[in-house]
Amino acid sequence: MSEKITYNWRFITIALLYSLFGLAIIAQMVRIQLTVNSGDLPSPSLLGQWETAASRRGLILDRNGHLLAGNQTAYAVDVNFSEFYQSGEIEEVKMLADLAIEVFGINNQYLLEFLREEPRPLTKNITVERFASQEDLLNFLALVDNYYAGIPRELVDGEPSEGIAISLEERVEVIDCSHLIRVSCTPHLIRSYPEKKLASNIIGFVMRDSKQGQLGIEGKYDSTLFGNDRTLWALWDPHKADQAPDPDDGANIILTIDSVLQADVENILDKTIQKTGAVAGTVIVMDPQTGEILAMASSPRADINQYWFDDYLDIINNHENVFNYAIRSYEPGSVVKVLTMAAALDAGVVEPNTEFIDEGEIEIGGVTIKNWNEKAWGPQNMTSCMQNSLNVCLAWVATELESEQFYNYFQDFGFGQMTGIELSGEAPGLVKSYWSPDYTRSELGTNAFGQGIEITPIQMVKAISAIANKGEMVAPRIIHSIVDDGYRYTPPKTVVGHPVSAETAQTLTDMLQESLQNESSLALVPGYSLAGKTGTAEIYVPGQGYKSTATNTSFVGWGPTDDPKFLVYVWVSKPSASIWGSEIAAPVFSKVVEKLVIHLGIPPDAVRVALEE
Amino acid sequence: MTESLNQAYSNSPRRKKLQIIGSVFMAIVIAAVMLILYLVVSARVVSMGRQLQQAKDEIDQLVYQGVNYRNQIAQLSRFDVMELKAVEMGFRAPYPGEVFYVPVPGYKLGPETHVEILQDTRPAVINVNLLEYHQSLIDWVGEQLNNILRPFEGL
Repeated sequence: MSEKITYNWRFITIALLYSLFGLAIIAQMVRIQLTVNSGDLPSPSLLGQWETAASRRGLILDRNGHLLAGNQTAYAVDVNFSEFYQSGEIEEVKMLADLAIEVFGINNQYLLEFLREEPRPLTKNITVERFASQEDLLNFLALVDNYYAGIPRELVDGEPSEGIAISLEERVEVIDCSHLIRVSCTPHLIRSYPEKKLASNIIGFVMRDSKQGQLGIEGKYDSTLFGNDRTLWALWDPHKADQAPDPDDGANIILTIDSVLQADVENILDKTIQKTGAVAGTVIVMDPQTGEILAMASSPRADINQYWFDDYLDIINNHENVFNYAIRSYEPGSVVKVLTMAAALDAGVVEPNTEFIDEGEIEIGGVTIKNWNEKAWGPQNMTSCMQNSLNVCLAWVATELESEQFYNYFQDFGFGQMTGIELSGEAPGLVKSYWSPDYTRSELGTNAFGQGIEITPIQMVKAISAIANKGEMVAPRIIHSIVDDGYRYTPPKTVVGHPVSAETAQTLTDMLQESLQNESSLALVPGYSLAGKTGTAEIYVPGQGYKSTATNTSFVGWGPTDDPKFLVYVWVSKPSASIWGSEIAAPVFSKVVEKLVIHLGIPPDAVRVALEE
Repeated sequence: MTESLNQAYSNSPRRKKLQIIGSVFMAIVIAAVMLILYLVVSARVVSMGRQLQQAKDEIDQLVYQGVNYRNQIAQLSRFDVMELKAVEMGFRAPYPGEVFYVPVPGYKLGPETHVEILQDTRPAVINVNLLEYHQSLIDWVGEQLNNILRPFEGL
């Protein structure tokens, strides 16, 4: 009996000890839950941070993979001023403010006032620069470090030295500002255009603040190119590591543009504008068989890395809202005669040898139409009408077609409709309907030679492709491919109609080739068979009417005529050296073709035929 | 006789208490093992999480560096820079009359070589979906037993 009692005592003791231990744990848990002050808990800001995934905006490349629009790292530089005050380091505040103003070139009035204000308000974090470049930030940090190390600034001619030499490695390494307690720098990606002005009218630009694409490809394909900078609250708890944002890169776009050819064409256009005193111009080079735009030069251009600069405001945000003249509508003049003649030949109302007696004027709808030199040219056939660019002859041709047929052909050529080229801001042009109340019959005559009608150069290129390409009209396109997440989408060649027959196209090509040779045009390139037409259009000035002193000069041409590889459209606006398309635009065509044939590897006709045999 | 002995043994108060204590200790040991396992797994998760965070940071750094490198290459190979270098080296653009075309008998221009993934192709997907992942321990034991007993079937 006594042994049994001893055992009970031991069991009870062990049970009590375990129970007490368990109760103590429970009591402690309850105490923590009830007694801890919520204010003593760590701040949510210590549990995580806002994180932004470094998402890249899609690249824009030329057809050979040359980078036209990329990204680069910029930094948001913040300075914590209030903490300086708390520690009484007024001198440091002044130093930092002065260096920031100097290095980052701060010109924001509000920020300048704050940085120069004495005494400075107790604002916590101030972003002194949102888009600091790698070079500027390295310079700033070096100067700050030198200040703390007590190293005086070098003086060059009594002024502080410009900055430090930066190696290639330093240009690419991500800058870490964590050694400076009160200065922080956060990297982020911004748009960069390494070629600066090259093809700027095609590319457009991205607003730095809103990251929104404007104009050109950037504007049209903003949502495709957009790299979604996903920003979310990422906890530092390693268990939640998978919640950190993943980057969402934009798709890359490959253009049909060849940047070497683009540079050559821009160079030719710029020199022409400078030499002739013109105000603007454009040159489009297209492969008429595929619709691929090989070059699209437009002048003036802007360095889109600095689109906000005063120098570029008039170019980008001008009153007519034109940044790319290739997609802006204008009265093209006699280049439209190509299409008038094409329509007439196709409808069978005239033939190349149809005779027309040019009496120097013709009256249509109560309006007298005269030739460019206001003279009578006598007996002409259709080829010489084109060669001599006779307004009277072409107006007569239009009357032979009559309004309904004439404008139906123009509609088939795509006038008055956007071509659908992948550029933001394309104008639709303006062609009146012959049944509209404000239409007068005289417009049939003037429209026949490209006056009183608004057409964009890209519309002309599309329409003329039907003549160059044996009746098959192709849609111009500037996007070669879109590459997204490893997949490539290449838009196919799009045939948008057959406004004229192959026979008509061939007949007209032969006529235009013959007329270029007969007039010894400045557009000719020795050894190559080319067809083309000049255009000179008077410019309408509101309140003053059409002025013959201010013209739009144009030229459209293609070649080689038996197997066309290029179609070139030139428009030079308001040249002062000459008012004629044959003297201003035709030489531009020839210079562009000289570059083209070498770049595309197109041998002279004789060599090409020999090689093919 | 045997039954009554067994009953007497199991009903003995001392044995009964020892059984209870043994069960409690067994439960504690099992709980401890589970807690240790939890701690090991949790520690590994934390370690992996830290590695993941570091990897993401490094990826971000590499993205920035990659972007900067590409930008530097683009700056250095800018068209006007290259043209200037070519001119400095004595080169100039040719004119049409200066180009000679030499026929090479039998040579034909090959088709374009595409290096990108075409739209109608798909990347290979490594599908790790083994049967073992969906098999319970009981199923596995049953399968092993079946394998052992198969030679004796029909005996």
